[in-house]
Amino acid sequence: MNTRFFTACIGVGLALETIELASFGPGSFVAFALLGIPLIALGVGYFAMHVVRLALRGGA
Amino acid sequence: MLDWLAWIVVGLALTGLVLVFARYEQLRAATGGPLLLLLCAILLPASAAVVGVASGIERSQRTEFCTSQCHEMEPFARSLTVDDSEYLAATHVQRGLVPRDRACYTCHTDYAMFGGFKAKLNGFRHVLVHYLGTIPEHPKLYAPYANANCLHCHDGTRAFLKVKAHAKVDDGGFAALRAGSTSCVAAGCHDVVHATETLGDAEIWTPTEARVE
Repeated sequence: MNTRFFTACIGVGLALETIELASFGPGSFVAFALLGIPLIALGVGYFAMHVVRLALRGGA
Repeated sequence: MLDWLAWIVVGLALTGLVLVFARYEQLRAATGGPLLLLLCAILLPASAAVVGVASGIERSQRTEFCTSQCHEMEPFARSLTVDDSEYLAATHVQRGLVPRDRACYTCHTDYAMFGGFKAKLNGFRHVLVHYLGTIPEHPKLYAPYANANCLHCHDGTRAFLKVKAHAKVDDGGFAALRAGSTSCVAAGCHDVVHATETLGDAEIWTPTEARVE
């Protein structure tokens, strides 16, 4: 599994959320909503699929 | 409250992510490690996203959110501080007829089941126009202002019912206002709302407390 890929996705998403929380503006909120959330979902989904695959193989 | 929660959850999620990135193999092999991995790579980031959206939506209702960054909103923010009771928006804010910290949201959200959702969609459209479109010189509403937004608070109040002009509106009186066939902000009625075109040299009211001489 590519650890770098999913941690980078989640990391960028969380970074956008941090900017949104710190800056308090419409631009950063839209950037978080349009880019940050899909990236977090992608990273979390990627890892979750890996966990499910391991569980199905009985290797979790 | 939600802001603090969002900061805490994001902080925990980032810490967990660093841990996953640096110690993934060790965590996988350790006792209880897989559970920690699930927490750090799934539960915390997902919670951070949910709390972040909730906090963002809550903050987007605040007046300073609407007026904080975009230059085209400056005249609208200024119109709330005009020292002239003819200006409807200024009067509502300065007399505390709407919550000052949620002034824009209070008047520009339809009081219907999906009013808040529609307001958010319109706000999203504003941001898209700001970054990708052509900003009009004098921004206008997408649809005529709904009387229901005014009547939600004013209908039934003594101040509203006693005005004879309301009874004479287009021969329909109060019914015409309630039906929305005559707009509250029609010309000759309450038509000076933000009036950003004429703000120009308008005097600004600065909140000052009275002093005993």
